[in-house]
Amino acid sequence: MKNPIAEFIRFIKTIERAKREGRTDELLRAAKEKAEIQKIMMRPRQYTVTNGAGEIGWGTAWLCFALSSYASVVLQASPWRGRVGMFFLLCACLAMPVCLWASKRFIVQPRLGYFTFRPEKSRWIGMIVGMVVAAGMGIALVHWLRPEMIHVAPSFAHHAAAPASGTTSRSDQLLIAGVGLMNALLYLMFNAVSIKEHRWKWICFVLILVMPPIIGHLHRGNYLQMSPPVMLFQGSVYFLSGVITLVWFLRHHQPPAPEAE
Amino acid sequence: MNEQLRAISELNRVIHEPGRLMIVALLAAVKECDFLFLLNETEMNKGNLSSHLTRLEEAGYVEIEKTYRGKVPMTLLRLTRKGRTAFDEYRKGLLAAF
Repeated sequence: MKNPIAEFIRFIKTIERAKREGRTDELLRAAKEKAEIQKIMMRPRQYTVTNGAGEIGWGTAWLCFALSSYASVVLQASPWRGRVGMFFLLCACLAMPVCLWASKRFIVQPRLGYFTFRPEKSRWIGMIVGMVVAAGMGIALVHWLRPEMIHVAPSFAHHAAAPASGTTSRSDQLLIAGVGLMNALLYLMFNAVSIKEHRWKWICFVLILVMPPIIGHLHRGNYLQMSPPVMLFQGSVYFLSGVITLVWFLRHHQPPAPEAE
Repeated sequence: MNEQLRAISELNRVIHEPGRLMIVALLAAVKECDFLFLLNETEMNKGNLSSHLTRLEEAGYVEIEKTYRGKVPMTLLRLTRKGRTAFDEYRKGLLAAF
C-alpha cells in the first residue's frame, strides 16, 4: 500500500489544481472523497499514539535511568547496589513495550473495539537490518577501541563518583543541550497528531528543549554528574504529559454501555 | 461523455456507496477488527452496519467470523483478497479520473 500521507497531500494539490482550472463539481467531490478515504485509513493508527501511553512509557524509562544513577550513589556501600541498578535498568527497557501493550489491551480495545494491524514486511526488514547494523557496529567499535576503553574507563568512573567540581566544559554543555534537543524532537514525534488539539503540549516541548542546559548550568559538573537531574526532569515532563493525555482520552472515550438482557 | 466523468461512472458501485466505502477503507487499514470497532468508527447504527456488511460479504469482499474472546462473543471482520484487490482498483480508478 502507498504512503497514505503522501497520497493525501497529492490529492489536496489535485483539488487545488482542479479549482484553478475550473473543472466540474463532480471531479472535486470525487477528489475530496478520495482524500477522506486516506483520513479514515489513518484513524486506527492514531488511536494507538494519541492516548499518552507512549509518553508515559518513555517518561518511565527516563525516570528509571535517573533512579538507577541515584541508586548507585545512595547505595554506594551496599551489596544491593548492583541489583537495584539492574532492576531500574530492566524497568527502563520494559517500560515502553509494556505501556504500549497495556494501553492497547486495557484502554483502547475496550473503548474503541478490537483491531490488529497487518504485518508490514518492509517495516520488519528495516528493523532487522537496523538491528544487525547496530550490533555489528557495536561489536566492531568495542573490538577496535578496546585499548583506549581500558585506559579511559577508570577515569570515567572517577568523574562519575567525584563531587560536583563547579566547572562545566563546553563539550559537556553541548552534550546536555543535544540531549534536550533530541528529546524535544522525539516529543514532537510522539505528539505529531495530538499537538494541534492539545496546545499546552508546546509548553512541555519548550521545557524539554530549554531546561537541560539550565539544569546543567545550575548543577555544574561533568556530563555524567549533570545527567541524572536532567533525566529526572525530562522523565517527569514526559510522564506528566502522558498522564494528562491519558486522562483526557479516558474522559472522551467512554466504554460502550452493556446491552439490555 | 467527458473521459474523466466516464472513469468515475465506471467505479465499483458496491464500494462507492459512502457507508460501505468507509467500512472497506477501515478494513483495508487493519488486518482484522471486531464489530464494535466499526460501529465506533463509522457511527452507523447496528442495523445499518450489519446490512452493509452483509452486502459486502455477498460480494465476497468481507469475511465474517463469529468467535469468542474469553466468554464474550465477538464478531471478527476482515477484508478478503478479492475485497482488497477491489478496493485497490477502486482507488486506482479514482486516481485515473484525474
